[in-house]
Amino acid sequence: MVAYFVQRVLALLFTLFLATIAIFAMMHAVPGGPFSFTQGDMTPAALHNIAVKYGLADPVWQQYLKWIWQLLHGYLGIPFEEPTMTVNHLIATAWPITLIVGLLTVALSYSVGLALGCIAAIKHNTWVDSLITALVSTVGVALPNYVIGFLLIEVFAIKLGWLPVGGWGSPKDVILPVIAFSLYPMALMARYTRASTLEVTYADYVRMGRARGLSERRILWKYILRTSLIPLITIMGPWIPQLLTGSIFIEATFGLPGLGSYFTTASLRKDYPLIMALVIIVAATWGLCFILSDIAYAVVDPRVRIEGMSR
Amino acid sequence: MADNLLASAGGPTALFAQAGEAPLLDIRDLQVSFRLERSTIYAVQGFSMQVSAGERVGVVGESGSGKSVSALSAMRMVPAPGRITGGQILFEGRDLLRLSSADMRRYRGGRIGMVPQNPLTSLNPVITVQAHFREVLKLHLSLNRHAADERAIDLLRAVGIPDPAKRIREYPHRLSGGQRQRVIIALAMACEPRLLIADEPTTALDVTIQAQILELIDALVERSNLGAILITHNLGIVAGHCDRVVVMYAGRVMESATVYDLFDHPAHPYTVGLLRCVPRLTATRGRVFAAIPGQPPQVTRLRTGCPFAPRCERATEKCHSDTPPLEEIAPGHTIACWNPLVTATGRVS
Amino acid sequence: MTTIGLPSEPGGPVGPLAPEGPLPVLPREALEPSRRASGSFWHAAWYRYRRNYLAVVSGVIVVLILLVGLLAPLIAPYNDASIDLSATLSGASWHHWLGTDELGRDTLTRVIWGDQTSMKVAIGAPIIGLVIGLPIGIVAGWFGGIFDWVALRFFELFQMVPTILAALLFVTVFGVSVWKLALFIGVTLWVGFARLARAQYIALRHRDFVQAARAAGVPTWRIIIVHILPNAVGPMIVYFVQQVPYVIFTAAGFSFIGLGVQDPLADWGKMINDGVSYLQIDALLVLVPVGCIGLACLSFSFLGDGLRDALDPTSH
Repeated sequence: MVAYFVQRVLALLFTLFLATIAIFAMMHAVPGGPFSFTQGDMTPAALHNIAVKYGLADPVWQQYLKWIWQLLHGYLGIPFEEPTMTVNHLIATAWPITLIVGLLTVALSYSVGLALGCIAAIKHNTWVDSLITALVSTVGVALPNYVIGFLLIEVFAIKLGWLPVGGWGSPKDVILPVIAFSLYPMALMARYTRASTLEVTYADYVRMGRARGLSERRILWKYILRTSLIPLITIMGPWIPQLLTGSIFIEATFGLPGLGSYFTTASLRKDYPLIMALVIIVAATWGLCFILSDIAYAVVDPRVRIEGMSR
Repeated sequence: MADNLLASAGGPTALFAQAGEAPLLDIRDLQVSFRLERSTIYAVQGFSMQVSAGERVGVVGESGSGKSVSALSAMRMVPAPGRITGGQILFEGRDLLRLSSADMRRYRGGRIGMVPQNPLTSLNPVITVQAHFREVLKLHLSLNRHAADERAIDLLRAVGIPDPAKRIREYPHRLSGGQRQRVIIALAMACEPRLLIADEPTTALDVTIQAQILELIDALVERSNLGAILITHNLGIVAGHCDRVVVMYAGRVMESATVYDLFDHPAHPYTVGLLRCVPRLTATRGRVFAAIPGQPPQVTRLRTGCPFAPRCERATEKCHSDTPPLEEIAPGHTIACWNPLVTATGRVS
Repeated sequence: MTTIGLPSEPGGPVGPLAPEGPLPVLPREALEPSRRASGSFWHAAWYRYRRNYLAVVSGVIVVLILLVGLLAPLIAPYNDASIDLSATLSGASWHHWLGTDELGRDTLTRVIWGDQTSMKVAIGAPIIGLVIGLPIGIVAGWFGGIFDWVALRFFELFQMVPTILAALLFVTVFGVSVWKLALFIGVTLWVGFARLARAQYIALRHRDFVQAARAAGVPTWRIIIVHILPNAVGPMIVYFVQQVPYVIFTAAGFSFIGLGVQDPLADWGKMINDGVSYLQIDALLVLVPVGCIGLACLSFSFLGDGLRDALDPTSH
């Protein structure tokens, strides 16, 4: 089993490598460099000096290798737009914000979603189930999360004044963004939990557990929930990295200085070091989460464990 | 517990309950119906049956005859949306239908055990065999882990699982179908129940394993003096492994007799029809497959009259209009028919 | 022990239901492959769909939305980009049923044209995803072996890049227009379609009717087109419809941050973005496109659910 995971990590590294090459090539393939915006203001000689300074005069493959070399030393380069700082520094200030929002969103949406889904399944064919199903199908699906965020701001921040409008100053700033961001994954989670739990509720082994006189409580926890949660790892697992790497739109709506905003500006200005750093972070997060979810799956479902894992 | 139970699969024991001894299970006039969106299905109308200790009773019928529902009612495990709407289920003298859910739970697994149809899906896939035993033994017999494990190993050995100490730690998916059924039987027997309900226990198994499982059940019944209900559609199983038989049709009992009486002197036209349908190895060439023309009904309206009348070749006016009651025509032999067969021995009037 | 006169015969039901006489000959239909793709399957699915009122209503709304988009030039009361600076930011009136924006453009007109723009992207992107993903998925399933393994790695590779960020990258690198937007978002969708197509192919190629066709010597390409595709099309349709709300969200989101379609074109997201500044003066400017997005997303979502339930009744 260890061998399997080593293999997965290696595959991940390989894929990351490919991804960086792809992005790097794509950016350099398009005409116009990071300083095209300012071209009108500078003499060709000045432009050339800048190009040399940032290593843009070298052939592309050489730039790439240099970047990889720096990366392996933990150095992500200097962002073009803020030459006095390093990318590392920028990332260090921005990433935690995105991560905090992301983790809180995962925590909120997954826990509430799970609970709602279970309740709906257990109370199948009652009004509770119908209500939850109706809610889940509409909320979070109808409007994009940034629109919801915008509406939340309108109501709670502007009209009622209870919560801040945006920015990142106090703990209260996370409330609205997290709520807006959580609604859709929460609805998804509830829906899949309900479906999975319902399926298990009618399974033979649940019936047999009852036939042995086990209490409903035991049946619920050890027989129904324990097995219905397994498929959820596969379904909702991929959402975790999605939520962790932030929503550009949410950050834009609430004015959160996280990675998302940097991504937009960096892309617009072709700020290569910044873009590459962001891509690496995002891709690595995703790959890591995939591997972790594989491990989780093996831990939770004994049927997968010994015979090796085939996806 | 460790003796070899498979050696002495014998013939039927206790054919008749000791005179004066109350039966272990006494179902009286059971009614079960299923409420669907637009209709109600009266799955069981007036089912009565008795099982004594040491006796194996087979319940036969086609799909939809109500045989599973009737027998499962003994544990009050009628699948939703079915509900028991009438009758009494006396087990060891107590009416189970009057018990609270909590009390009923004590009976399940504790006094009454069940063996289901599909062993492949009847064990919790994420807990080990050991955990299965521990939870049920702790619940009914208050055994701690050690004692539970020991007893589990004994039980597994008794049902014929080799190397039980090792097997116990396995997850269900590592066991074959036959092995799983044995584990389930062991689980059902774990708390020394008085009654065993087997719902088509061999339908999902290979032919060779079927015989072994049935013999195992026979041996258990004999050794522990259990009462057993065997639900099946297979008359061959009934012939080889039951002491008494109850024949059901459309939610009612048509005929009830000892195995010998039923096969030698069947009186109800339906039973006769069933027996005729079984293809014989000794059939001569040119013999046509017999069949009972028509289809069994799904009872959505309560009606008077014999439910089999539309398909019965012996049906009379009275059969269509009046419901025949279940009456004894010979000691231990009851049927519900206005126009039963007169057999060669003239036993029926 | 007295013999009972019956051979012991475990297994097999006693069958009083078999008709008398010789065994019936199998009907011709049973011998023909692709049974499931026959009329009865679609009939049954249509019947199930019809009984689901929510799905039917959603379906009607979806058709209406598409129609409005299609017929935009004919229905819109005003010319698309006609600016009337004398009537800026007016509320609802007889001339302008939904008011005007800051440049005096009629909101209703913009909504209708926005419908067309949004729908172009919302339908175009999944189509592109389908066109790219379906062949790759089927080919991966068909060849199997190392090719399949490589394809799976590719799927993973592309899935590791979050779709929104990827599309954003494309937009900033290549610029944006309605079709480019559809293309970029569509390109990020192909993995889902490919995975689904591959799974369908693998599941179907072992089915009896495919084996029967193969045994009869039917060439592979014909098997794929005639037998496999009609049966795989159900889940594909459902998946397609389910992608639409996501595309609407994403496209509108791009407009929301200013990277979507540009003036004078409008889609609903852009209308929200433009209208936000004037929220206090004329709330309709924001509420109307929000309502449209909401209606479209809900309708497509319910339609997708309804189709799924109709085509695969095994889900509760």
